[in-house]
Amino acid sequence: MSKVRGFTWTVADHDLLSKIDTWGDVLVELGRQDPRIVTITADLATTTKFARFKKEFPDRSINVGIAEQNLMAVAAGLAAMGFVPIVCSYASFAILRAAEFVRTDIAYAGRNVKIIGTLAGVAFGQGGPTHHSIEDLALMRAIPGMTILVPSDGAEMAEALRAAILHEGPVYIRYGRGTEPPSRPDEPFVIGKVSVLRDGSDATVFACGSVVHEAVGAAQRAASQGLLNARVIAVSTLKPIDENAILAAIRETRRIVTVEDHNVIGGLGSAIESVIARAGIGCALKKLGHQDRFLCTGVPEDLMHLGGFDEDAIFSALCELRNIPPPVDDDWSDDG
Amino acid sequence: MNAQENALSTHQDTARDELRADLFLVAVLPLLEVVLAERADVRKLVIGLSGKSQFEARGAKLAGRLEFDADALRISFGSPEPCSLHFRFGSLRKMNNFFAGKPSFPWISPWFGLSHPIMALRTLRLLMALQILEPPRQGAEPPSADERALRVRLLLYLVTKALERLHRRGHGPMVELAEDSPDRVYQWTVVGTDIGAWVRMHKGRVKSGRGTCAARRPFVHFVFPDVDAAFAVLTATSSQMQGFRGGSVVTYGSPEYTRKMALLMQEVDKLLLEG
Repeated sequence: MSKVRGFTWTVADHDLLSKIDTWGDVLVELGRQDPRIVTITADLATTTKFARFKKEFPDRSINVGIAEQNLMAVAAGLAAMGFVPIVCSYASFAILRAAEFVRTDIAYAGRNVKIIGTLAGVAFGQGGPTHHSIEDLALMRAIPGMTILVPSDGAEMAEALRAAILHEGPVYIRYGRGTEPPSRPDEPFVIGKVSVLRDGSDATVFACGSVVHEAVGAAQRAASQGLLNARVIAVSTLKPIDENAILAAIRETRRIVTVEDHNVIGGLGSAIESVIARAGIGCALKKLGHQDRFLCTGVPEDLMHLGGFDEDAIFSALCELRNIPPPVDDDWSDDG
Repeated sequence: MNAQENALSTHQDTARDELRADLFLVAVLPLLEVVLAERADVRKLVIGLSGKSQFEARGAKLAGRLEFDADALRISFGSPEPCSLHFRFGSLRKMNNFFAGKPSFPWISPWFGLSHPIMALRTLRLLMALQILEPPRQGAEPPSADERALRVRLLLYLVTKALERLHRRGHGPMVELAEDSPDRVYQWTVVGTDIGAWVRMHKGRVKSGRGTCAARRPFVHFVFPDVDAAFAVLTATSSQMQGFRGGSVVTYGSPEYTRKMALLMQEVDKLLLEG
């Protein structure tokens, strides 16, 4: 057990714990099919799942060292030469540190580069706010031509990667840990389309990334307690956003909760807000996520609770929108 | 030293002895009811009996009872009380050793158990049915499919109840885990069966149960793909880490809390087997 102790537990060994974290294998499979695919990392091959690709394709695997700006510049250059570079680093560094290179070398030049930002949000909570990535979606949304995918679990991540490779142009894939329970139906990932995970008519929860399963759990709990029937929509493509499906849900339910492991400014909540404003629809809206503040150091699930975007918070928000006091389940009697 | 003095000789029980005794009496002994429900040969042992057998240790506040009534068996625990038969030990440690299958013998009263000889004999035979919980011996015949399923069921019930009792008894890591916990459920499930157990904790309160927790979905979910996989992991034929790697157990939820729970499960194992 000594190997799994300590600070590096989350990043080094979590893949041992979950069989759903399969995108590293899918990447190898895609590499066999398409010789143009190369992987580039900034000294994080093991924790970013590139190690498996490197083992099979050592001459198509590049490590630029801890130099994220260089990471993006090399990727842009390789794309200009006809390769399909897939770059991966922690979301906080891949995006914030290298933002100008992503904008100018990749997006402005229209390079076919796929950027994977792992451990996004508070997925590496133990690293503290320096390693929390709560601004990346806002930055990427503002870059013209950037496609943004936010898969919700390991299985969807693998499908999103397949879709990104087939898509011509720069793509940013934002990914958490992969230890989340699968929430999405087993179907091909279509860029620009939302997934309705649960139907309902009293409210709609729009969620993306690692909190999707929390939204499903909250909606199921609300329904099982006979409080309300909430629709849950996974917005796995944040840009281009599926305006038609979102507007339909807003019109049909009129009570909206958005949930994301990102600052509520600039991410999913803001994107939904824009859709609502453009359509001029009146509705009640609650945006759950990081409320424009930095959280502390901690285990991701604890930070999600502290930040108010876990299942409990979503459940309470749904009840609040319906003016129902959230019932307290307080039966702690036992036979002991 | 005569037999009674030997059985009743005392030494200072430690907090660990008390904790172990609690686990044996509250988490292990009630599993007899489950064994009874599953195995006809064990059910025969309670037919025609009426009365109570009590396991107790000198000076201890907690005792466990087998209550025979109308061909049924009920396990209870609480303060020692007058019973048909008393299985008395000189200390909790001796009682724990007895339950752990180590050489340790009770003083049976009244009259060495001769007042209720059949009940005394059957009580001991019932306890032997719990040997199913012991780790498989090397080179022994592999248990049948039914027995493997029963053992998995018992082990999951045991470990979840034991975790609840650890908390009740102030076990440091368990108290720490529950203290500031939001309402969270740790669930164990064997796919394709009704075998499951759970522990729920919220702000310093802990509760365990059998089956699937209806109140909330799991915060951490240990999913065994089948009985054999669960049997291999829970009886330590393969380690938890081997289990994770080989797919004998898939976990959903926080890896950090998965690990905490796995370590607590190991602590329960250690308490019961090693003392």
